Amino acid sequence: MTATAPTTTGLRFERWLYDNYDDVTDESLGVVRILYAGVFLLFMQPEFTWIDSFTDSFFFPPIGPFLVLPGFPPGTFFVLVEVVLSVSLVAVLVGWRTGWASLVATLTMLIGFGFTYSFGKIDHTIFMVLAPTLLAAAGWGRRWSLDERAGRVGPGPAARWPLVVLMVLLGWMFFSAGVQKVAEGWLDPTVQSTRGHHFNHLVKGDDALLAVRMAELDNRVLYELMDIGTVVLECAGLVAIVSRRWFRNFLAVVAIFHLSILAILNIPFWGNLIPYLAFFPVSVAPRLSRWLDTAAARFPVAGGGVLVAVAGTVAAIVMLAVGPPGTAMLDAIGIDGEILVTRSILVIGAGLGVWWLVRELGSSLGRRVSPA
Amino acid sequence: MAAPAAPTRNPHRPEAVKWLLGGLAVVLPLHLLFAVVVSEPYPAIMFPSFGKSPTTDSAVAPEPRFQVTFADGTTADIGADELLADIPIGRQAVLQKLFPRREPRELTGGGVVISIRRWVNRHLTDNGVFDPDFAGWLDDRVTDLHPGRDPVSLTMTWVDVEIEPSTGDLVSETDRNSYTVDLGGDR
Repeated sequence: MTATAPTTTGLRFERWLYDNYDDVTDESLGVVRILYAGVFLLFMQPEFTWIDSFTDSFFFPPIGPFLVLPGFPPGTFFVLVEVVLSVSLVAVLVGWRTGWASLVATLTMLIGFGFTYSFGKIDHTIFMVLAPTLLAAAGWGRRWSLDERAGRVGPGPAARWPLVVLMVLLGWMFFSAGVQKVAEGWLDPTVQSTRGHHFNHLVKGDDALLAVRMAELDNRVLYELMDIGTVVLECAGLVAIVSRRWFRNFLAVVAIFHLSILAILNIPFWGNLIPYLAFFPVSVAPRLSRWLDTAAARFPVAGGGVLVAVAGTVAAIVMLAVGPPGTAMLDAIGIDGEILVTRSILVIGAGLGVWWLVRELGSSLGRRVSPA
Repeated sequence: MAAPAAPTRNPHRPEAVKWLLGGLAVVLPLHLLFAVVVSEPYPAIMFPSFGKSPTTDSAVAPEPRFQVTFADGTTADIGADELLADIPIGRQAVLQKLFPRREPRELTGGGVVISIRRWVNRHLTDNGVFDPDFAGWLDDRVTDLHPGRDPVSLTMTWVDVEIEPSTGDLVSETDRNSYTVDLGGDR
C-alpha cells in the first residue's frame, strides 16, 4: 500500500501553516515579550479594583459567560485578579514558566475586562489579551528568559504555527469590523459615517490634535473616501493572511491608520501595536543582544519562582497603591502619563509602519530593475 | 521484508492545528452573525464596527446632565464624568443603560431578526434607574462630591447638544427626556 502523495495545494497549505513565519527568530519574539510585559507593568496595566465601588445596579453583562452571574463579585476578588495579573506579567517579563504565566495573564485580563465591560460597553481589547498565550506558544519565552537559563526550552527553533493562528484571528477581527460597517451603511454615498462620528466626538469635547482642523475642512468627498478606505482596509485583513508579506504590509498600513484615528477621533487604539511586532523579523542590535544576555545571566537559575513571587508582589502592591508606576510618576510631575504613553506608542508604531512600507517599496523596485 | 516505519510525528507540526483552524472557520462567522443579528457577545473575536453614522448634517450629540437638589432647596450641577469618574470605559454608554434615552435607536431588520432584537431589548437590556440600590449609590456618590450637604433628589436629563463643528460654538440645546431619582434626604 502506498502513501497518498500530498497535493500541491496541500503542500502550500502546510508551508503556509507551519513555515510561514520561519524568519521570525526567538530573539525577535523575546524582544516583543519584554516590551509587552514591561510597558504593561510600568505604564498600562489594566486596573479592576475600581469595580468594587459600584453596586450591582451597574451590572449589565453582555451575552456570554458573565450573563449567568448574579452581579459583581466582592472587592477582594478584584484585588486578587490584579495581584495575579501583576505576578504573571512579572513572570512573563523575566521569562519564568513563560507559557503558564502568559496563559494566566490572558485569563486574568479576560476575566477583569469581562466585569469591566459588564457596565454596558465593550472595548475591543481581545487581541492584546489573547496575544500573550499564542505568542508564548510561538516561543516568546525562549530567549533572555529564566526558562532559557534553566534549560526549559527545547532544542531547535520553536514551532511558529501559533503566529499563523494569531494572524488568522487578527485578520478576522479587522474583517469583522469592515463587514459590520458595510452592514451599517458605511458605503452609502449619501452618508459620510466618518464625518458623523467625527462630529459626534467633537460635541463630546474630543477636539485635540487634528480634530478641529478636519472639521474646518468639512470636505464630504474626503470623508466619503475615508469611509470607503476604512472598509476596504479592514476587509483586507482577511485577504492579507494569504501571505506573511501581505500581512506585514497590511499591519504597517494599520499602524498608520491607528494614528490617523487618534488624530481625528481622539481614540487611542494602542494596545495591539506591541503584539503586531511579533509578526515582523525584528533584528536585535548586537549590543542590545549582549546587554540582554548579560542582564538575563544575572538572574539566578534556581529560585526563579521566589524571584517572581517577590517582584510580582512588590509590583502588585505598587499597582494597588498608585496604579502603573511609570504612569503615576509622570502624573506626579504634571504630565498625563496615559496620554503621553498611548500617543507615543501610536506615533512610534506609525513611524515603523511608514519605514516598513518604504523599505518594501524600495525592495520591490530593486527587484524590478535588477537583471534576471 | 521489514515493515515500513510508522511516520514520525513532528511536534512542531501538530495535525490538531488544522482542526483548530477548521473550527475557527466555522465558529468565527457564526459569532459575527450572532453579534450583527442579536448582540455582541463577550468574549468575541472581533473589532468594533462603530455603528452607523450617529449624525448626518449637523454636529449633534446627546449629553447627560445631572442636577442635584439639596434639603435646603438649593441645587448644583454635576458632570457625568465627575459622577462616574471611576469608570474607565465610555461613561455615556453606561448611562444609557442606567437612564435609557427615549427614542432609543430604532430597531432595524425584518422577520426573525427584528423579533430577536425585540426579545433581546425586552429581556436583556433592562435599565437600573428604578433600582433602590442605585438610588443608594447615587446618594453616597453625591454626598462624596458635596460633603456636608443633604441631597434629596437627582434629576438626570438627556440634552441634544448641537455645535458648529469648525468653531465649537454652541448652536442649540434640546432637552429630551429626564429622570428624577429620590435620594431620601435626612442624612
